[in-house]
Amino acid sequence: MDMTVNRLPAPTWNWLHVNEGSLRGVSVPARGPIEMETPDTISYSYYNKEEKEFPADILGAVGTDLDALLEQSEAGFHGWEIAAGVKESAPVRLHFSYETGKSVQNRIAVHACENSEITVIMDFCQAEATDTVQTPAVAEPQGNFAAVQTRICAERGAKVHLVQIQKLPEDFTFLNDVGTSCAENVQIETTQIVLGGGETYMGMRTDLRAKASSLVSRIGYLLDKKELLDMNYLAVHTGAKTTSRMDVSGVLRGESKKLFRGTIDFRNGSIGAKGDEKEDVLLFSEGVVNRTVPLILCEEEDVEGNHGATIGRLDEALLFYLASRGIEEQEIYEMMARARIDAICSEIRDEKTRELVQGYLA
Amino acid sequence: MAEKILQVKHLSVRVEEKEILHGIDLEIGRGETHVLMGPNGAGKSTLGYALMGNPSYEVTDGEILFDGKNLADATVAERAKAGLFLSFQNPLEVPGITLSNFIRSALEQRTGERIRLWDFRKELEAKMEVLQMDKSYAKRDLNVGFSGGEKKKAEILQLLMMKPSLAILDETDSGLDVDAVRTVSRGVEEYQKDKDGSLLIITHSTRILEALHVDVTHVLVDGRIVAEGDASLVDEINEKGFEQYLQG
Repeated sequence: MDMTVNRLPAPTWNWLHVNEGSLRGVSVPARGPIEMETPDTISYSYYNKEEKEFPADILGAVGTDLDALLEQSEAGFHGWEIAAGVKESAPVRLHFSYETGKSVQNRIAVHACENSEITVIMDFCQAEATDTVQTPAVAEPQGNFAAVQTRICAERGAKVHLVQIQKLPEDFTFLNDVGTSCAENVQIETTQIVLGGGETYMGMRTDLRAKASSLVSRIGYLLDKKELLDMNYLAVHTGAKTTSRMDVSGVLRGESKKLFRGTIDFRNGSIGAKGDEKEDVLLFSEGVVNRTVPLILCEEEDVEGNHGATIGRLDEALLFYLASRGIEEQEIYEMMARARIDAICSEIRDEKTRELVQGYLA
Repeated sequence: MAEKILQVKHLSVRVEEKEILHGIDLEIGRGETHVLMGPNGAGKSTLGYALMGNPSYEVTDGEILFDGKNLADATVAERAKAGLFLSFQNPLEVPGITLSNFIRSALEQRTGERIRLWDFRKELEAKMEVLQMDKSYAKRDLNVGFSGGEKKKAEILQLLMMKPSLAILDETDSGLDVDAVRTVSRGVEEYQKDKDGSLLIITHSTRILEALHVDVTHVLVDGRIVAEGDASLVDEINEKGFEQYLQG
């Protein structure tokens, strides 16, 4: 099927080519591989399609075409739940290792009950030739394609940290859709690092439904060659005094392309809400395409929305300063690129994951 | 007579369309400490930048020989690897790279070899102690949020760790209080002792020189060296200022 994804909530001029992304001839993906580690305090279940529906009331940002595609699949979904008051410091680890020539999908649901604390870490990579896949695919459509849909339901006072690390090959198409629903005083933190992937479509919608719920979303990326990263991020403020922050930082090399749509949507009732989005992009070559669409929508008066962006090449004075210590220009760019990812990586509290990222960077 | 580490021959330098330095001649011997003094706008920092190879500073005439080699085609990084160091008047802030990682990367780039973390840390901490720097600065992003004094100390820390053959200190004492100047001077002394390093100290005040032995003093006015002498010239300028040279 042909798909329209990452649609901008309030479209702009078509000739800007930023209103949405599109994919052609996508086949229905099979149930994808997943290796998992779940702490004892957290319950896990796999739900067959007939048994339980994937949460439909929590929306993502990639769009309804992805929902429709995954609904056609026979696969069910994986669900994790942490009980009220349980604060688990050990993360749920989900390892997605994709084989060449496969088209696969996974649906993930996380339920954080009142005043619980949970960290979910996902890493998406290419399978080694010798890798054995734990969960066999139901069908085997062709194509290097994977889609992951994550839905998080966070009840009052819950704290959820979602970490996603992506290192996929140049000929891979990846759709990553996250949707979160936040009750009162919920704290959602997301850290996403993209270190490779031919075409990546990432969407995240966070519904800050109730008072004082908050979102901190960090995204870091290093793109090279002809890679494409198309993002659609949406913080919907409905509750009073809700806060959101999106920090996007990355590097474009070769002929890579990046499009970031960042929307802060202040709806009726979001009195005293505050939203910030900040972007920092470093351009390494003339052939890159960098596009940014910051969007702030307002239905309330007493709100504060900010957007800031720093986009460009390294300052000459900075280059001279660093070169004067014996560091060649190419290495300076590498250092600065790495610094961007390091800064985001340092926010991940799990050492194993930080090491994974450092390993990818090495 | 000391072997020459730096020979500047009839150097003229242009910035954008304006010639700032006009036919500078300067020689520094190994282990010597030279002072370059002059009023504001004389071209002192321009000479420092030109020696270091800043691409915005165009050499229109003359040549720079460092350790006997002509630097005409050498990039900034190549000059640094050859043993030239410039301490900046206004060190830049570099978010995302810690002071410690920066120095280690620079050392690895210079030598082309991996440096053992344990040895590096030990030496770094010892040098930080000399400069009375809190160890926490090593883990902080380079110069980000540092006070003026800490930035200058971070420059001298880099000097001590990189051990160049010739260090150019551009107004290292400016904006520092008396105690900070003393600490920085101690660091500079340590560099001289440790490496038998040569120094070109660019300054328009003399506070940093109080604790250092000066071999030669040069006075730069309007892009020309108008006077040279020994350490007594520093005292003379201290007493009479630059007026006599400006009138001349």
